[in-house]
Amino acid sequence: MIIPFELNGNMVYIDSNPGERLVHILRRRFNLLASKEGCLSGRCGSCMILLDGNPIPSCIVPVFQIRNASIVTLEHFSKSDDYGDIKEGFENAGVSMCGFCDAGKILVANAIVSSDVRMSKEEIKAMFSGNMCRCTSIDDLVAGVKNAIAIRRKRKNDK
Amino acid sequence: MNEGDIRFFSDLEFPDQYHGVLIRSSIQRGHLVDIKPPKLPDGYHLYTATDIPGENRITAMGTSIPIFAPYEIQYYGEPLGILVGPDLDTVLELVSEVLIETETLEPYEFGEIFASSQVVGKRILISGDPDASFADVASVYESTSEIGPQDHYYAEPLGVNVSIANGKLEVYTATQWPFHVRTAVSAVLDLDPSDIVVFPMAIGEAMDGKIWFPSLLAAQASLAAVLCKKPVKIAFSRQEDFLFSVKSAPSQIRYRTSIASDGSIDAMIVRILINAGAYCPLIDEIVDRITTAATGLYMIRSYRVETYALRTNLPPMGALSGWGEGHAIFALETHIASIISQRGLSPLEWKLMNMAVLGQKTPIVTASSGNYRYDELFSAICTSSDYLRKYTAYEYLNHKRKGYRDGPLRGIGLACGFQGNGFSGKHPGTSTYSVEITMETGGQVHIRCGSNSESMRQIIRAIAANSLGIEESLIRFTGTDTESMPQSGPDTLSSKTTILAPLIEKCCATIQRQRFRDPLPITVKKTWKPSLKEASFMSLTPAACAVEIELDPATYEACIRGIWLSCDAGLLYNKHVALTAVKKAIPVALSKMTAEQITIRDGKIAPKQSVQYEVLTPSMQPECEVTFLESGEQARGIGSLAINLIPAAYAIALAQITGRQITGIPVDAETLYSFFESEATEK
Repeated sequence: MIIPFELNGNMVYIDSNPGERLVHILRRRFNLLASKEGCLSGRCGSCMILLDGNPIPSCIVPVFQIRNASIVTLEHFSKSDDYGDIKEGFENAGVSMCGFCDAGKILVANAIVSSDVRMSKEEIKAMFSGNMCRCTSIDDLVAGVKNAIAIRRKRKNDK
Repeated sequence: MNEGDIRFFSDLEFPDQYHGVLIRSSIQRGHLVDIKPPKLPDGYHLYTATDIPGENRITAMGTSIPIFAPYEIQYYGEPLGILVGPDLDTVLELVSEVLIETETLEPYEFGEIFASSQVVGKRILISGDPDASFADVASVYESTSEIGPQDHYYAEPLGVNVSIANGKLEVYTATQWPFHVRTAVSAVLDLDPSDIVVFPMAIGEAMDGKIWFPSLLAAQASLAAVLCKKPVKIAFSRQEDFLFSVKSAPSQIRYRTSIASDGSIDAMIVRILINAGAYCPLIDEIVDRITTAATGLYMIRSYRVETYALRTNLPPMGALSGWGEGHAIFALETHIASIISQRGLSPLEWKLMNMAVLGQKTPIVTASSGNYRYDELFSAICTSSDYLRKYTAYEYLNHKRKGYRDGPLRGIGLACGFQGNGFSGKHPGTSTYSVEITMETGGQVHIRCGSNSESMRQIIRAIAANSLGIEESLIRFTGTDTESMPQSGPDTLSSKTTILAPLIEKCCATIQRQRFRDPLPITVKKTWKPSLKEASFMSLTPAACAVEIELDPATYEACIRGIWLSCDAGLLYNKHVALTAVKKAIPVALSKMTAEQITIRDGKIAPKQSVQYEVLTPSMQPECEVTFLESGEQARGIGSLAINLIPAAYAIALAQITGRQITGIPVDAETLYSFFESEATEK
């Protein structure tokens, strides 16, 4: 089955079993390794991608669902200004991640920062409920997200 | 945090790579009669014990484990061989068609009654005559705690990638002990260690589940790579990892305590049984630690602690962070809390009265090392948590309560304990640790220390920059494999904090002395060797913890209102890193206490209810406050404090609400429901 979709800004076509997991397609066919194979059940968040702008675990997305959709992986996202906000915010808060869960934590953080909703600490914590990795204190992550919100706001206002 | 800086073994692919899948036993105990593979297509191979050129075993800390079972099968899922080939799906299909002929034997069970041949570890500590004390004293209290096996649940499932390049065997794996991987592969393939290079890959939070097991996988993959002359990768799926990797060793701990009329502990008899599974290379250290931890930080006039580690036909067992200390602290603290409650005493006053102090000697506190600032530890907890007021109020409310639907169900638990740092020093297999620092002519500093943990590197960078008076940006870490990094033992039990940090300081001090009289570059190397000392560990981090809980009377779910932890961690090189190290372990401790449960049926590991292993996510971390006592003493480990203490404090808080001692881990809503149902029936 030929499936067309936009991957990191480029239109691509893949011939695939429609039930194949998106994470396998990204890693094995496109060598996009920032999405990790952790639990393969959508619980750990290590394989996170942006599907039409929303953070989704790619291990539970069968490729037939991405027909004509836009997929952005961490490799592409990390070239954006939005990523710079998250990175700076995390660094200022002393967030130190193991690397395996980067995709999940960074893309979820970006979803929070990009959201129009002003979230409480508990709401921010709840947004990370799909990240199982035990490498970071959630308090650091929340502080990092709050920093990133301020940095993003300043950057947008400066423009 | 630059993408691409951190490499995981699962991200590595070599050209022309083969995939390896293990053939496993389908019986718990018995004999292997024959392995009949299907007709293998070209390029696909099956290797078994008979193909091993060297020793069919890896040895860690005195325990040997077969690479492939040659004849005797000791547990369900034991590797019998490896099937390799270029296409993973084909390999998996071929593995499912392999016929294994076996003879079944009755498995060894775990329980009070066991055969002497099952005992793989034994320690007995005796002081005074505890039996005589029991004859004289009327106040005797007994309890038994049972803690089941739990998964280490690290982010990346286990695996290894092996290739042959430049005439050397290159092994890529996430391991806490790279030099053990090299030793293991060398013995199995009968190769000189210099022909093997191990590249430790990014490891994340290993939770002590990657100490020796990666060596076994490395030996299996290396055998296949050498025989088929192709790069070979073994990558466990999460399911395979869960079913066949090591679990924390389950234990049963029974306490019998007599209390003197003044409230002090007159005598204590402790009997500990550890289920060591079919193989448990870490068992000697686990037995040592759980035995010495069994009497905690308390002064006891006479005691006897008997620990037996029993061989059973369960998969290999390992050590969760704490190596059994958490089990002992949970059992002891809940037992003590029950005694205090039955005698109507104040937990805080009782603890302060019975803590071992300087000059007294217990299994864990040596005569020279007992000054642990308990007053300050408890004071920090009581101030931050308002413990005394809450404890008194909840005692009153819970006693006055007419039923479990009457009023808020709240409790607060206080526990004290410790984290032992470094190995007990009794096991030669734990190896040496070295650090080498070079100051270049341009002022750059290169550090080779065998640590690939980013948090440890932050600490090391801070120490070196501070000691040498230079910018942290001038510091680089070199040595990324066993050829270029200095010899080092396993990265566990906070050994890197307690060993490497002082070595770095010493190296820097030497460079500082030399740099103004000798020309650069200057290279200084310092080495630490294990020694048998009076102390049980290299150092001990005492701590106290309080947990406050409110129980929902409708769902029996426990809501944590707060966690407070104080510790005497010695010198803090980087307070933020220290705070993160403690805090990130809190959800792990709560997950172990409330969610993670494995049921074993006929020797097969299974989650509690479904195929999913229930784990609390870090986002469920409740509000917590951590206090470090100011100190200039040598840095001590802190990473296991939460896992060692929080389950005990949590269980004590629940006991205050339910009026029953919590004697098992995990404790879930179902258990609490049964408590209240029986309370209702009694009334």
